[in-house]
Amino acid sequence: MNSIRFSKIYFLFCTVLTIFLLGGTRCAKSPLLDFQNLGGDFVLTDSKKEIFDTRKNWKKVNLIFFGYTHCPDVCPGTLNALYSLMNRFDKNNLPFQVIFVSVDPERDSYEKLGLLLETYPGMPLVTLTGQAKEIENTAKMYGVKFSKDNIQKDFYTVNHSSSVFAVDQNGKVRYIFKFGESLDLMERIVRILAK
Amino acid sequence: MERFARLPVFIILVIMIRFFLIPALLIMIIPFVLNGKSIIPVMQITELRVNPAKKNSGISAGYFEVGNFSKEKETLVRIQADFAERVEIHETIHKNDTVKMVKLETIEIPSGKSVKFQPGGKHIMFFKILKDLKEGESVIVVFYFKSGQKLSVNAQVKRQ
Repeated sequence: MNSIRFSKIYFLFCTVLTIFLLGGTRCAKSPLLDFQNLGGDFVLTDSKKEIFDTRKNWKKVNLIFFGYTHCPDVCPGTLNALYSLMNRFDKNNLPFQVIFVSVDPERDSYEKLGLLLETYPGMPLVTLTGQAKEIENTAKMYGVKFSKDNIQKDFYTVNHSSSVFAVDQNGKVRYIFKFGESLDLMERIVRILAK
Repeated sequence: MERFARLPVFIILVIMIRFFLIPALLIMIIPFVLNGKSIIPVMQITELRVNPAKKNSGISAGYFEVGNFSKEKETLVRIQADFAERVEIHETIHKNDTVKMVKLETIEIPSGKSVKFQPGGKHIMFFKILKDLKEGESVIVVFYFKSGQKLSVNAQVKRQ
């Protein structure tokens, strides 16, 4: 009789323990994601006309953004947010770098990309461009679409993705920040990836 | 002595003109000058800021909130700034993950309401920046309304 009662209690104890452990695992689940079909290595040129090969540069947490220097709203809005994110870390030992890939190689000269760096002093920012085909292939790897719009005599805009791709030190996309994402979440993701 | 006899009268006359006649005339003239418009501004621009930009870098954007304190709707028809060659009103449209910009000709502000221009939404677009816009500086932006009201506002150059 005692043996049956003990078995029941033991079974109940095991069930509760299993639920607790499973629940615990779920709570501690990493917010990072695994995007199997997104991302990859690419080779483009930076504002100093030097080759930028991601295989040699996935050293830190990478925040990749596809934009263009004539973009007045979303691109500076995103870069301003990343500039503010910088203030949440030790500026002498920042765990991330920002990679800006131009989707407007026609207008984004090396000079224009250099001016963009000057607008964000102290930010670990790399501004990249390349041949139209190279840009197209890179954007495709990250699922980014872009196209010219509002074409006027002396100006046009470019429709493009507003996401920021958080890429780990192995070149894998681990999170995608939407435009206007909270700095708290961005900081959290960067800190997890930097570990 | 006779020469100075009329001096008090002269002084009183000057005081009367200075303190009563001129203000009275001004009060009578102002309504004609303003063509029936209120002296107190009924449109208010707040939280105006402009993104830092380098000269010749292309463009910059501005954000603010416009409030209408009048009893009638008002329309923002034009914005002008000396530091840019051309100024337009734009709105960013988000569709799926892609952003697209559209030009807006005017912005209507209903009576007692306000319209907010913010990143990722409505914004001022400054084309061809003619001087460096350094963080911490201030620049003048002029707003023109349909009723004829014009507001010159100090904008802070800052990121957020």
